[in-house]
Amino acid sequence: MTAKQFFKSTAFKCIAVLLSVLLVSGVLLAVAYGFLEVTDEERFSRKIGVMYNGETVTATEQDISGKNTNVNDAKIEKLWYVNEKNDYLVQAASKGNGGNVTCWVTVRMQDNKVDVKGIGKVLLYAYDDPAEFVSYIGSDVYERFPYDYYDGKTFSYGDKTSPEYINTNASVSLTAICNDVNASVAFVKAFAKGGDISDPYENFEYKSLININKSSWSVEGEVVTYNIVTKANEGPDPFILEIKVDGTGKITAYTIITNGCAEDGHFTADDYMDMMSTLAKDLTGKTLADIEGYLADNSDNGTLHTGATRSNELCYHAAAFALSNYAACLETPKEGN
Amino acid sequence: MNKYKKITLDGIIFSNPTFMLVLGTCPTLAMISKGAISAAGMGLCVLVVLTLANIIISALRKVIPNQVRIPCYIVIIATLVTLVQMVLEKYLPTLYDSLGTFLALIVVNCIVLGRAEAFANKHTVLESAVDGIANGIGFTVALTVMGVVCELLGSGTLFGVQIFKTFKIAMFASPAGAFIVYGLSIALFTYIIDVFQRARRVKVNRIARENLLDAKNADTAAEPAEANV
Amino acid sequence: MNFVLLVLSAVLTNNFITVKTYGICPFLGVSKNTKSALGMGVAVTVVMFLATLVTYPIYKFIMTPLRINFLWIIFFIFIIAALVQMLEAIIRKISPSLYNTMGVYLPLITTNCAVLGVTQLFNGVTDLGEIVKGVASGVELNLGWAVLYALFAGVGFTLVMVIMSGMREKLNCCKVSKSLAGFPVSMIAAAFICMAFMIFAQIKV
Repeated sequence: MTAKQFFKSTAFKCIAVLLSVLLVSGVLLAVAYGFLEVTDEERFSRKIGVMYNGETVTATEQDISGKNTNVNDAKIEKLWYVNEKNDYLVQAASKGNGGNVTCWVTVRMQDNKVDVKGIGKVLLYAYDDPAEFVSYIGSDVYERFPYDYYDGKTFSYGDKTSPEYINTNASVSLTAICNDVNASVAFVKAFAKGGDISDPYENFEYKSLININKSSWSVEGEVVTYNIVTKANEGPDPFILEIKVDGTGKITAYTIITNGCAEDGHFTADDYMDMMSTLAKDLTGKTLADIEGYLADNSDNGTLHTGATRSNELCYHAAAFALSNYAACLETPKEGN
Repeated sequence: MNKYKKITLDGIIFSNPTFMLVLGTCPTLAMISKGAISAAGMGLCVLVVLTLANIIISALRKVIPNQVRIPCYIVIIATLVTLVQMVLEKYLPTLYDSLGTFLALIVVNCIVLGRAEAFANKHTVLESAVDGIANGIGFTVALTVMGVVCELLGSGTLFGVQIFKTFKIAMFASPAGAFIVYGLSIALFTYIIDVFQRARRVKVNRIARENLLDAKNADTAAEPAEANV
Repeated sequence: MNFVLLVLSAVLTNNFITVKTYGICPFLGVSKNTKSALGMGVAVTVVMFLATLVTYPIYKFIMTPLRINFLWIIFFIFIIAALVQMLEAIIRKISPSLYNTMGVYLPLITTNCAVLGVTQLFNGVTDLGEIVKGVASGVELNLGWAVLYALFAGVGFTLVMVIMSGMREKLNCCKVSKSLAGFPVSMIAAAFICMAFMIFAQIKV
């Protein structure tokens, strides 16, 4: 085929038409994209607009890299200042059921931009819960946060022992959300004043399973009397123990005031109480080295794995907490909440 | 004027793409279970894309060679859908979110490609535009009606306004209910059209018979006069 | 474990026909007998697999760096149409008998929502958890996962097609009133299949 024949043939026409249509389309779309592109900032401001019922607001991200972002049981991930509303928007995450529960919390500021006025909308932002317990929590619970807030309030809707407990069948997730909200308020309070959250118990040891907030200790001479409230431990509910430690580094008195063993599908609470290690039920006279030995015992039917391992763990941790922080607690007694 | 009227009536009623031709079923089923507003939104998007595609393809019908017509149509429709997508994302984000993935799937919607193939490349621009609008209106009305039914039964709301507080059958907010509503709507619509067609046929037959009788009478009246002559 | 979740999600809990209402046109049109339903299902599965195999790398490694993401519809539909053409030619050459039984459906697959739908699923998604519920976040979506998901989505599609064809064959023997015959009664049958699949939404692994 000569060149001239080729240019006249249908094959060429087909290719030419197709290519030109493609070209025109591409150019048209590229031009349109220049006008109609939705930038990431716009997308983000739409997301924030959800917190204000669709209003368009702008928010500037605050730099929290130098601050202490681990507040109580939650981690502050991001902080924004919403310009039009004089609010801080906090993204906080804490451990819920099977993973992190991340919330967006709006903290309202007074006109002086330093004091906290109240709480705005609380939104569940993300969660890792594979069984989706967190979806059992209805919107009416989230709406209580702004309503119930007062200065100094710490939310405990998910705590079965608290008078404001709300039964949602998702207590662990609800506790995580409350932790997020509490941490957000505390963080913003410190941040707005330019300061940092100080954790007076930052250097305490063996506090992972202890609810320091609720625990208390009093001092008489050389003896520190602890009233320790532990956290729940995936099976048992919180234990409450009274432990006395003296200057010799030994436990002089040990009483379990509330045994947190709880029924689960396998055994009753009483069964678990029987299965607890006899040592855990009475640790009088033990030292920190003894307790650490018990915690490290991996043998079956030893001092830890007796069938009620988690209850044992709580008791040992309570004792270890009392012994290892003796010096600090001797200096500063604490009242419980 | 008559042929435009015919095109319009065909598009909206007698060849309604949803009820008579049963085309474009994927977005239909997905949107009616989501509610009346989503359904109406989808209908309007398809109307816009269909009309514009018809206009462009009809304008280019003498230019595009026969062998590459399908790829060309697809590219044109894809461009239009991309444009609509961009506009919606920028100015109507709530509609964009509720349409979800089905906005992009308008490209493979049988209605759009079908009308382009069957009508637009054989008729003038104006006729194609009218056809596009008519089919689009037919699609939108069908979807909206079914969407209203599904929404009322499924969540008790009408265009978002709560009507029934406690009466809700959750099945109608899922594909299962959408199938049922769609199937029954097709049955009802074809039945109504059938009755209408039958009544019209009866009327046409009656008029034809009367005309025939009149013609016969005129003949017999004329004959004696001729016989006399 | 992620693999099991992926298979269950693609085939059952997020079934393309009964949950996502994607491939409805062939579902209603080609499911009149089991043989053609199976043929269409297999053909669609193959096309979904190949389409994802080709479009996912192109989107991730060519379009995203060049920032022409907004042109994805044109690119993808072109690729799918080209794939279907090639597949048809290959089948015609390799096995004419196969072409006679199944080749009729291949051009229809270009306009199948399921194919474009499955390729669209992976646009801009970096985490497998965004598509498969229950997968802990942090599992990166890569070509392997995407292709596997497309394959099993096709399997789910075929499964529902075959079930539907069975029901329709049974319905042929029954007397149905004139206005309900054809599409309406098939759709009501389809509604029951959808209801059955709603059970799978409760699967917790």
